[in-house]
Amino acid sequence: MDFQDMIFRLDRYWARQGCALLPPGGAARPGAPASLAGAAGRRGLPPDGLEGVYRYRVLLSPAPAAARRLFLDSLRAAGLDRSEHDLRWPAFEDGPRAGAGPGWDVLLDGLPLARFSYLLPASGPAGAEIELSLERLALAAQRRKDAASLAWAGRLTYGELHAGEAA
Amino acid sequence: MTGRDAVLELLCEPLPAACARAASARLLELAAEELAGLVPPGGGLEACATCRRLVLYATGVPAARGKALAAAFPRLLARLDLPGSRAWEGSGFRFPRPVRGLAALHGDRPVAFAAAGLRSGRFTEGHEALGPRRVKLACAEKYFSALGHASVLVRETERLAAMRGALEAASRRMKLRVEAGGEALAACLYLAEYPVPVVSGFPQRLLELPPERLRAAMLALRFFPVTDQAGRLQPYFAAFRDGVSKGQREVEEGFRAALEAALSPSAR
Repeated sequence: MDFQDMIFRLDRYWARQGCALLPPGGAARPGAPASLAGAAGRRGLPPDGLEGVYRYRVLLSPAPAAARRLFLDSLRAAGLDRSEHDLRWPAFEDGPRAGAGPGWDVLLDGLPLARFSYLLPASGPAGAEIELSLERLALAAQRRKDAASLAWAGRLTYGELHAGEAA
Repeated sequence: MTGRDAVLELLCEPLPAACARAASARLLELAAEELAGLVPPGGGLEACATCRRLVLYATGVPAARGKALAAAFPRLLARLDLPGSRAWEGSGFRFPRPVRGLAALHGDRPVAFAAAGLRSGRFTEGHEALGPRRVKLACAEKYFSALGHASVLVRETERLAAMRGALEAASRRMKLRVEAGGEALAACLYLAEYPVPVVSGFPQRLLELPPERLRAAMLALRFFPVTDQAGRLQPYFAAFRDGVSKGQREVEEGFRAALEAALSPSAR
């Protein structure tokens, strides 16, 4: 499954879970009146500790009881065979942003894959926010060692698409 | 007539390691108070925890005390008061992470109560890597073996013995020594419900780094350094993954990349 197809599959998966899809780069803000999902590219090295510049972001508002399970199933939908990998959930307590509750820095085979946080508004039910490194997921799903060799779409590679860009 | 054993299991989303350790100790302390009249002097109480479950096991609870358990179990859970606890649903029950299941049995009979917006029953879940697999508990006495068959080593002592045994076997196989002190092993105890050993290597050039830096990076990642008989570091390390051992090579490569990233100049 190439990078582009992985994004399609994540879009379809989260849309089936009732998320409204955001256009690329759309700003999903906590406290939104609906569950939202979408991929976005970020310039420069992001400060969230995740690898690469492409993120898949999901806001579940409110968070269903099965939010973690939905996240795990989304990885399978994106081509990851869970049984072949080690997933760890090192926990953190409340995040730095107002309303950001506890969560986990999810590690895939020891490397940062995603950040899953609960959102705890002053009133109303808890939400959940998931930030996923698309590069990390694609590297595992495509069994590649470096991002440049990832298949982006058909024969076009990630490296060819981003040739000449500053890191 | 001797009594039957009783088990209480709270299944939750992954707890911080320190919290799981504290929860197990606190549960035992409270159980000694709450179940004082229910467990006869000859019976025993045992509490254990993994990253996803908190378990109380009582042996020899007389048949007539089943109803009393149904009152004691929710009271016990409500008194846990662990650091970082908060209400996750409308019942007012507080816990550090959302609670996803309650199982309680006295012998082969379910102990019915409600807490955390859930009703207790005879179902639990096996290891998460196996998918959302429900496990039906036939009786309290078979709790640990049923979970064992679902790839969960519930008791800390079992996980510790499995980890020690695996590292000793790896040492013998490599004819080297895996440095696994009690503290380093204890730090891994609540990271995996079914610890499976992984041995990986790193580039020889990293051995040029100061040994204390290499050791610190490995310990921070919960990896175990490997030395020769003279105590010199070798370009290998041991670690544990959680769950089935399919796809071992992907995990080894990922762990190696994590160590290299931690030792890269930009990580300093």
